[in-house]
Amino acid sequence: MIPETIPKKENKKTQSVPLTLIDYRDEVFRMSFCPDLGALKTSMGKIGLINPIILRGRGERFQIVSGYRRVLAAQSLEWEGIKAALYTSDELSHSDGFRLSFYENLGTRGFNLIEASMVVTGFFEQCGQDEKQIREEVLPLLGFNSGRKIFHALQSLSHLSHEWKELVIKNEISLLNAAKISSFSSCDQISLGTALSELKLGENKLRESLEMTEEICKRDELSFSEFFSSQHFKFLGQQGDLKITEKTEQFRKILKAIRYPEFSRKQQEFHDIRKKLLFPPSVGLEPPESFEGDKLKVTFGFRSPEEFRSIVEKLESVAGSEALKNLLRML
Amino acid sequence: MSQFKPQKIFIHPAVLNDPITQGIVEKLPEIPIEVQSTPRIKTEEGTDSVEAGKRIWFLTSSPGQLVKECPATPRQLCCRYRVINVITNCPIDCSYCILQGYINNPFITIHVNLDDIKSQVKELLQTDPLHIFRIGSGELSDSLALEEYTGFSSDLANFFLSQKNGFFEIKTKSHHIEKLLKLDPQGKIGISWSVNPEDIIQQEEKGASTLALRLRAAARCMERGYLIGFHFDPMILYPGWEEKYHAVVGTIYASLKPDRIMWISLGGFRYPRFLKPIIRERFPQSKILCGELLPGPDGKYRYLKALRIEMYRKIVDWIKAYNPEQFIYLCMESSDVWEKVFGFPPANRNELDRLFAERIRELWKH
Repeated sequence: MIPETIPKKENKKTQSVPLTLIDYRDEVFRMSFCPDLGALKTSMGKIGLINPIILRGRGERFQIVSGYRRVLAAQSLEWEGIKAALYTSDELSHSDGFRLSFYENLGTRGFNLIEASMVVTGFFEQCGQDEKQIREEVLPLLGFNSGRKIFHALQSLSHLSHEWKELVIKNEISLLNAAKISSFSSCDQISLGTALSELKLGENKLRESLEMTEEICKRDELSFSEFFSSQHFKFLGQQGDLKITEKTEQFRKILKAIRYPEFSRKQQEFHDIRKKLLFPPSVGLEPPESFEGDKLKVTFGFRSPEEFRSIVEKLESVAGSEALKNLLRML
Repeated sequence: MSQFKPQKIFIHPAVLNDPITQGIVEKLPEIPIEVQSTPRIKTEEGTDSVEAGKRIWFLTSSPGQLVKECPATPRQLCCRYRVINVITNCPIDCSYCILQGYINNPFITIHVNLDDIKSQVKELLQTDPLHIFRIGSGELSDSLALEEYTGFSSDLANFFLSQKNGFFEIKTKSHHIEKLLKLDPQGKIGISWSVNPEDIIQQEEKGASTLALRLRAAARCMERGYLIGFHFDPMILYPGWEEKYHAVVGTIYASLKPDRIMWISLGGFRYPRFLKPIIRERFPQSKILCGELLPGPDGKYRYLKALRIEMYRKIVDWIKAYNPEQFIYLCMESSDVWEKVFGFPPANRNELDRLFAERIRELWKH
């Protein structure tokens, strides 16, 4: 798809441009997110700028085509000017500028998930490239397979709030979970972010929690904000003395109880009745999966014939008990 | 039923000159035709291939068995129903339909070798001449949705009239019964409608006839001499379900003679794991997945057993209030659910099959 039509940077003479003439708020070509400038600043501070940035004239000022991080580092180092290759808007069209920026960046660094999303969205929206072309030509360069699911997931990340984007690049959220979150409204994303901020959910538990939250809110016709401001979650928020893992487990328990109220009630009832049997800790008594079926299951371990006999005697002693009958009636 | 007109018809070379193929094609002169032994269909990027496949037909014949045992679920009480898969894939687009994840071909396959199917039925019936075999269409497609073009259901109904131990049940969500009304069913052929409250039909059964049209069609078929059945399947638990389903029961008995309703089946919504992402993607507005659906030992998700039992007991009570003798059965449920709903479980599938046979004999006597 590329770059013969794009004016080559190597043919361009470079010159120093005052930083005050660079409009760093114009982010049309930007494909960097939350850059860590530490190393770059050190390098530029020690040996100066090796690779000139690319600017495009726009009225009195310049747009950054490539080199946002370098401009930010230069500002931070209090430089007055920076070496740049200059293009006029006639020389470099909008879409060629985007392509130039992409290939310039591709040669010098990797892209995190949010940056990859910016690239995909840019090629689609700014360069007018179609989905198939982007999937086949751009995604492999970004290190992805060319599947539709990946394309749409990356594209959807542009709808994520800034806070969620930060979490994504900290590698705390997978692409697919992030894509799921990006499908929620910005208000819902904020509510979700607040609710989950003090929890530690792994990938699978996050996916499960997102799904349950979405289903509850759809079922009960609630926004996430209404849902997470319910008494249950307020109470959890006030439990300052809980460890993060305990709080996370409590959160999931609450979510499950709301998503599956009858099942949770049954589980609790089963648990309460089972306690009355006073089984030793080594004996397990479980209902069938999802209470589907008509048999209870007893499991136990033992180390000696005496222990075995003692457990069997205990089991026998409860055979006629009301508690056991009640447990069976629950099935 | 012009809403189900295809956009394209593929024809296998072997059936190009078949009279049934010719009959179908003649009714659709404006539809482009391509002769291919395997349809090569290029689905455009981003299009819903399931939906697109509902507008492409493939007329072919199958050398294999098209009369099969109903694919029962392990651990559930099976009723030994047999199915005729003369059409595979359905033009109606129900959100809960398992075919979405089950059928690999992006088109509707229409097997025009009806004579082979009839031979297969005859062979089956001859295996036990004293037994009444219940054989239905409508497992892999709606039985009447394409009837205007194929005439398969009326042709098969006519064939079954001469079979002494074969009972044919036409299952549908459609109201297009014109062809069937031309036949005299002699009280021997069954037609059954899958029913749900109208709001569920509107939300979850895209392209299916309204409840009122289904019941009007049922009343006309009953008048013509067909035996009528109803399938409350899948029943959906949602706010206000009791009132809505109670009203459906009331409307059925207000429109039809109770003694000609051969049976009513009940089945709660259930789905295999693979269907959930498909429903979420294809029907993002649907709320059917928001119910208290949990995985069972067979891997299928169902409403919690206690909820299903309550649901079945209630609807059984509503039905019995209109007709205490009504034959009611549960579809794909375990013996213990049967016992809790009806107070008895059929001992096994043969016992259940015997109960159906008795019911058919009783209806055929009248």
